[in-house]
Amino acid sequence: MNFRNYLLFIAPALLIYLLFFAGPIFSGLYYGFTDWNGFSFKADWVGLENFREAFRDPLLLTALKNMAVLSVVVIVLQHSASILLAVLLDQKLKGIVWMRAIIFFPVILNTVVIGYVWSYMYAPMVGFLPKFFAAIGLDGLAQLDWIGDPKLAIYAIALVMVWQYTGYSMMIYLAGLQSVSGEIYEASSIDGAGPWNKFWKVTLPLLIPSIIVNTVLSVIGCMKMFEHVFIMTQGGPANSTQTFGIMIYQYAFKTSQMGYGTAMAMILSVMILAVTFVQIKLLSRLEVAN
Amino acid sequence: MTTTLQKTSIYTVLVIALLIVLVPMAVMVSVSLQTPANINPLSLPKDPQWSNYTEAFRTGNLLPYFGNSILVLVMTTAAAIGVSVLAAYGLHHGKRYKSEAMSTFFLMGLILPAFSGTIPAFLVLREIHLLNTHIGLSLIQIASGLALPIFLYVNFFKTVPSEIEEAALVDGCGPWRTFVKIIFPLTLPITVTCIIVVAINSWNDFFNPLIYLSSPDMRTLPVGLMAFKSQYNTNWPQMFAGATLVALPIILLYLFVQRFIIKGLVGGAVKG
Repeated sequence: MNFRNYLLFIAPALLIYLLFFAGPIFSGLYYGFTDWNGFSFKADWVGLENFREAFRDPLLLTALKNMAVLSVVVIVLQHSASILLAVLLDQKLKGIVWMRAIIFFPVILNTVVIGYVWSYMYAPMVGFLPKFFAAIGLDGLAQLDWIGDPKLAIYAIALVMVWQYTGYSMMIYLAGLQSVSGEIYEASSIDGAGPWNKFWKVTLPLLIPSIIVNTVLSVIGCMKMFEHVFIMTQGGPANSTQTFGIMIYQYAFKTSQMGYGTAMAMILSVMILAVTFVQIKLLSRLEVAN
Repeated sequence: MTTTLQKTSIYTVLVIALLIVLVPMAVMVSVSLQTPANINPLSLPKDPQWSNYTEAFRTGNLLPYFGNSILVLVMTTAAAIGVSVLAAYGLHHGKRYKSEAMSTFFLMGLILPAFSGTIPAFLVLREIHLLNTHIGLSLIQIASGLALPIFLYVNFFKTVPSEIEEAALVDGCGPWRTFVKIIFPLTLPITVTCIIVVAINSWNDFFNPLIYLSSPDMRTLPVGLMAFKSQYNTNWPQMFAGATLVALPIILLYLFVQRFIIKGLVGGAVKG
């Protein structure tokens, strides 16, 4: 293939990608240093002012804290559940293909639908969880106002993410398990290892590369969090569920501080790139070790 | 090898997991058929109110939203598949033009948060008068969703034996004819996967239509469905009838092609 043909093959994709994705992200590098409001053509260079202001912004601190809470809940709950399910669904049992498919299903469900359903699951007094807990006699749990209580709301949203994405990480672990050769298991059986020992001594160590890719993907998902929060709480109550996504949206489109919003987006992008970079480093080190 | 006791405990765990996934969905459908005055999430509807659905369809203005969503989905999917398969073929054969660097550049699309570029992209669309149009929304969806199909196609092309292309070259086919006549037909299985994944992402996209479509009659389904929240603050049955209608096409599609969906969505992550 000559250079002209090479260019022609990639040109349509490159053009669209540059104009509507990569280009805007790079030009954000400029707007983040201006006081631009998004409507006038005038955007004054303010240097690092937006960033100085951002690091004094109490909302940024809340967003960082929520990012951490979401990541921890998701890593602990979602990944232990999905590793367990992947191991169980790796067996040859009846109906296994359909069980995998059902557990994966919420991944492709519309976020607005999920937001509605879970708003109702949590709804105080009338919702499913309060009524369910009351019916089984757990009055303490039945009294909880899951998304109306500023202390609980972010955890309630984290649980929705766990509900939606456990199937996704489960499938990635399943793919990881299926690349492990059966001989290793046979060898460990011959050595007299029971299922419990096999899991801790064979399966888990072999899954470590999958665990790194998979948890980092989840963390990036938590960092980019927007839709679930937007639909369920809009960042409330009392700003307790603010995330970078919600903040950027509000600054840019509600209060027309586009320069400031873009600076926030840059801070987020830098954090995401850093997390991705660490992931790649860790993985390449593991590959060398193997 | 597995004992009965082990089997029983495995099934118990799996059934609990299935219930956790399915109960919220069942609650949605069950409540969608009840009357607002006596909702009971713990029981099935005694006297199914199918009128909730017709009512939701009418008052929620869902028909035009369905139309808008389908239009955007078709434009986005057709164009995204077309440009990504071409780009992937170019990237695969362009190693001597540093195409690895170009591939990495495209792959950034999987990592970078789209909203870092949202505000400037908003301006680009405004400058070229495509703000608040379905074509404009489609272009944004194509650009932010290119990385995955390109990645899947590049991986696929690595598995195509080079003899096939060499034979075509000997027979006098240029790269374009080879691509159209020989390579593209081979990609069919992976193309099906890419079509489904791109289509689902377009159908479910909430953020982009929220930002780039301002007039109510241009809205796609997910954003249109948001209107239910303010309109029927306490009318859960109607909200859920609307939500079920929006989820239904995906549920039906999933029943038939779940293998392709899972392969596409997970394939991108596992090899990445």
